[in-house]
Amino acid sequence: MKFRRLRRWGRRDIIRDEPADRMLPDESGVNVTSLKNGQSAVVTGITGPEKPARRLAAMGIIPGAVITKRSASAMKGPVVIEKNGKQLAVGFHMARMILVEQTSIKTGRHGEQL
Amino acid sequence: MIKAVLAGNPNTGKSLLFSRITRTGAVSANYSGTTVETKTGNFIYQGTGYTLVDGPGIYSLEEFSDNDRTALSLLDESDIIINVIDATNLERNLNLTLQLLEKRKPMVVCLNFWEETGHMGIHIDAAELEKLLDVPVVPVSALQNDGISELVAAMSRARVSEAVFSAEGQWNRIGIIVNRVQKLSHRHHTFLEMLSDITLKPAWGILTALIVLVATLLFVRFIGEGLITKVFDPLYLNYYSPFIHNMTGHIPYHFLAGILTGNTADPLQSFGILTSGVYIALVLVFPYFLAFYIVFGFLEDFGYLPRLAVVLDNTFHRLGLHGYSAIPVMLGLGCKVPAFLSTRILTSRREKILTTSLIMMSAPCLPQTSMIISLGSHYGTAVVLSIFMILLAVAFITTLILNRFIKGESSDFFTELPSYRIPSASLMAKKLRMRVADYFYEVIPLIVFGVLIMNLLEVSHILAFITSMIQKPVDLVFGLPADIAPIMIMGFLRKDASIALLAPLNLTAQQFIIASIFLTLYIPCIASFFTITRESGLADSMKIMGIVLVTASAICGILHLVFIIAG
Repeated sequence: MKFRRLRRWGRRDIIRDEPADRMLPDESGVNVTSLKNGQSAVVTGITGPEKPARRLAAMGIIPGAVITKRSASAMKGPVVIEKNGKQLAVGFHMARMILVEQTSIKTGRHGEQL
Repeated sequence: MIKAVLAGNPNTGKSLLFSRITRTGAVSANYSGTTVETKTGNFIYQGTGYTLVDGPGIYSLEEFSDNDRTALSLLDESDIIINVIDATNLERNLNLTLQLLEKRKPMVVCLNFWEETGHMGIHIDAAELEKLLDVPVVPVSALQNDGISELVAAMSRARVSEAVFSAEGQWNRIGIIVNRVQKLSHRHHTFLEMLSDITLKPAWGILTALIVLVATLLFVRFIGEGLITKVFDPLYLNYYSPFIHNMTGHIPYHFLAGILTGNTADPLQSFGILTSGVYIALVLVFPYFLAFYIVFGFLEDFGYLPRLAVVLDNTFHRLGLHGYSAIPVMLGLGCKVPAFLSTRILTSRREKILTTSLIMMSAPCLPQTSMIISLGSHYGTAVVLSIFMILLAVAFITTLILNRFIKGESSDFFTELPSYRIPSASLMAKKLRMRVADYFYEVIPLIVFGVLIMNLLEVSHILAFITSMIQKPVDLVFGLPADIAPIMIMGFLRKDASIALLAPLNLTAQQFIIASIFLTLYIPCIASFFTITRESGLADSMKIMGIVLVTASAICGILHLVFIIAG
């Protein structure tokens, strides 16, 4: 493992390695974290860095997908979202990348419209 | 030989399918990332020889972790792809399927969990799917051992798909296919789904986690201790021990008899291969091992572990990790070797190093834990508890410090939550049998070998020499008797038994705490050492060893000081 030089000796280029999405301001409208539990929404877009966005896409979290927020943990813990009846636990910061538009579509256990 | 690889999303039952087809054992469980190592098995069907390969699951052909890299290279090396799909989640699984079709390799699609679709209100037209994808599609239930022979028969029909999809965009194509082949009917929540919702609610989640933890501890203690006092100890004392002493009593060579049975009757003090070696491995450790893996196997198959990871995410975030690291750490409560291997599900090197450090320090492995409890109970529960508390605190502090120094980005929590499933008793028994077999093949020889070396060292007076060498520093820094020196040196070979060897030393409670903590931390056992080296390379593994050794010495030195000051 490579140790980072202590900051007081180090140059400015050694920045604390916060992932970019952690600094993402919550400005681009409604995202998954602001939904209530049990509320459904249509994904309108994914913001933020590319790698986590591609991981979400591989699981079918893409614009147009209908998802339901199942639960959230206290203190910015993971958010559980459901799509087609399958649950996905997503870290809080990654959940903030998922922009949504609330919908009145009610979905059943495997995503079928009711 | 035709090389066929099982490819599919995580937790679609590839490993179980592998066991069913090749009739060999592969550990399966109900969470993403159970399989981290590649397994191969051979079988012959209608005169054609096949090599079947089981590897980690992937969601797409992109590479996010070491696990993904392994899976992708397996795909490239194979002649046939068997794409395993979770039939209860067709849409998401088809994403990988369509990507695999583009690899232009002969392929078969296997719709696993077929038995669950019926009562979940999902109806899939397999024949229509076969037409659309232009490769054979076979419904299978690996759990109920149904449709396996049909799948094997279909492998000879594997073909390169000529399917053309008119729609633009991957998910649009998937949408069209799903609409054509799948019909859903509404149904009510099952009990297990409601249970799943409850175990995810913040307050309830923590409560369930506590209940599970306490229940696990109580069960392991109850079963483990019960087996020891009611079954194994009486068996050993009443039947085995007299028998062995009777047998070896006829050996004319005193030296040989000494190696085999030791010099005293107490199995914890004699250092004989056939007495101490057997007693530690079978009577003291094995019952706890059995009890732990019964509970753990149940939790794995039920699908609880990923939910526990969600609950623990907050704690792990403070350490620069996310909740999924909880799974390797929990595996480490049993044995460190599978725990180190499972760090492959983590996506960055930084997370791997931090998790490795947590696995190594947060708790001893099961054989050591059971020895600490067995021997420590003479000193009282407070002593045993304080050992585990100090270890946990040390692990947290070390990981926190490492977190500040290691470069690299930490990624976010991201995992699929499997549906709860009532575990199959026969599968649980099979898994338990495999783990017990591993224990006997790997752990017991090491314990016996260790006892032998210890014995030889004693007979040849080398022990006395080493002891006199490090007597002073050990006494000065740790306040421990000189006799502990050889145990420290031999601990590398048989760490599992090193705590047991403290028994003859008549330590005080404070000495026992210091010695247990030191022996737990100071060095990984030989099997763990090789695993870490294989996973992280020799350089990283030597650094980890250095850090651990320094930490262990520092902690025990400080503890000694604290005890002196406290009087």
